[in-house]
Amino acid sequence: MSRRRLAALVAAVLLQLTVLGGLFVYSQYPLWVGTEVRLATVPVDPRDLFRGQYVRLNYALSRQPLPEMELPRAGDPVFVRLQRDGALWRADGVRLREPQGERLYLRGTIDRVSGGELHIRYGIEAWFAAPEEALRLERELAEGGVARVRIAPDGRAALVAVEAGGGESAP
Amino acid sequence: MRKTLLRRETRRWVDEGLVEPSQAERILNRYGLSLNDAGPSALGLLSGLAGLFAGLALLLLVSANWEQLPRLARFAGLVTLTAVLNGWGVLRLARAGTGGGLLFLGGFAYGASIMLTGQIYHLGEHFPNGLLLWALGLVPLTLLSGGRLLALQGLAVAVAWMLLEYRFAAPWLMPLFLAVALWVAWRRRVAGLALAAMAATALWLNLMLAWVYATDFGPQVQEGMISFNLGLLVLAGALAARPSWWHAGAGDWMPRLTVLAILPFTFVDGWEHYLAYAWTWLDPGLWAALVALLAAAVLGRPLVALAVAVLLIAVHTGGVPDQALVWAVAANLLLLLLAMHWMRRGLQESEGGLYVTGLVAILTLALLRYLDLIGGYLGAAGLFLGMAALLFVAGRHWRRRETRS
Repeated sequence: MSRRRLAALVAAVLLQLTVLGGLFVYSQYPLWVGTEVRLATVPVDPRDLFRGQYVRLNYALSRQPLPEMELPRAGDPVFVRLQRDGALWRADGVRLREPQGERLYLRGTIDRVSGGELHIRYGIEAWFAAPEEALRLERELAEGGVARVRIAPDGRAALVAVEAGGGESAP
Repeated sequence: MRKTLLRRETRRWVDEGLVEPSQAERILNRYGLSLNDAGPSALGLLSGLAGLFAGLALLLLVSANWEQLPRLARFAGLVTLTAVLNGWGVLRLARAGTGGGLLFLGGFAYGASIMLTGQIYHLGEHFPNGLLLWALGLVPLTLLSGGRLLALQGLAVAVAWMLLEYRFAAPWLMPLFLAVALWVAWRRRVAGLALAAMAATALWLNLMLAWVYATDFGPQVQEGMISFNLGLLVLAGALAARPSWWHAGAGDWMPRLTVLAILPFTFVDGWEHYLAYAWTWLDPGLWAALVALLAAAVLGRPLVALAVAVLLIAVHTGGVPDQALVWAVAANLLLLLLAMHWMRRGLQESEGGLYVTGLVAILTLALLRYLDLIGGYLGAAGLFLGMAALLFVAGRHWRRRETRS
């Protein structure tokens, strides 16, 4: 085998490792620089074929009214302003363009548009846990829980913890 | 004829002095074989399956989500495993020209690392992106190593990505993965991989056509796709005939695929639906089919391509549900004629698989028509009599030709 081909093969392996490193940094970024907010959530317990058992978290802000004067389509990015309401945060307006110089907002993707509402995913809808832990969380949070989320300046969010009645599950 | 059988027979002829080794070598070369090839061994297949099972075990270990091990340690462990397996594979490839199994396992470790990152950071975002990263990461290593198993893994992951992604967006990146799999299949002469890549290509083309029919609710499946798939079937038939290494491995599949494609058209209900909903000449499915048929004609099937093109244009421009019975009877007779042709070829060329395909197609047709009573009791009786006459006349005709020759 030529030295050039060997170098290309090593570069291909390094590329895989770089992708993994990039994915690590991408995922860690909101946890490093983000502002923490608390969002009300209700969990259910499905299984992902590759990543195992998880608690799916439903948020009130996953459904938002259609923004005025805009034409949203599934797959479009969407930006939801957040407003503090006691200990929790709630949605306070939706737009399809990234806000400039505004206060805290969440970046999401439109899953579908139906019934005059936007169905939005923010990337914080899954809490992965061991099977027993996932079932325990689902039981304990049946009446609703609180998700602690960190939001980066660009609106990307990462889950920190899921809590029930002041109790906290380990991240 | 199967490759192993051909190689065994040719070696026997050389041993018995019927042909010279150089002649035997030239004969075998036509099918991408050689006298010196190692005989068929279960080792390669079983090793590949062992690698697959080990990879699935790795994914399940990640899925188990052990809280006892710190998540960062698990991630570091998997990244290290990816580096070690791939590094070891590259080293063996450089020194001994082997190492495909290690790279195959390395591919699983890489995919498991991506899944683990998603798990650690509770990434609930667009899930197919994880599979896309996995498939993309395998591309350079597959191209450089030419690994068959790695190519198969990349194709499987890409197909999973395509099936999950197409509801959200047209999977435009798929041709890259298909080209990689087809390139490895061509370079290594692996008919099975080529067959899998062709099937994935047909699936991708269908999903892209569903996006042509898309409405505000996303991609749509329409009856025009039936027309397109008939065009693809003829194109697959033209491709199956060449080159010889591909034909020797995948050619057997064409008659079976044809039976599966035509069988739904032997039912009156199927035709009623198709004739009612296939659009006019504006149907994108019709035009996509005509492009496929043009390619089939260029590749050596001009008559069949022309016949199917005329049929499709007739259906799309003048087809109404009232004609369903006539079309269904024609499809039954066509399948019967094809089945007889395969049986005869199977007998003449000692192709057991082809003979059985023809026989099974005829028996299946008889059973289905006996159960669904096409055209009522008298209509079905008429069809059976017609089929019996066709079989009898064909048998007599072949007998006469055999006697003459």
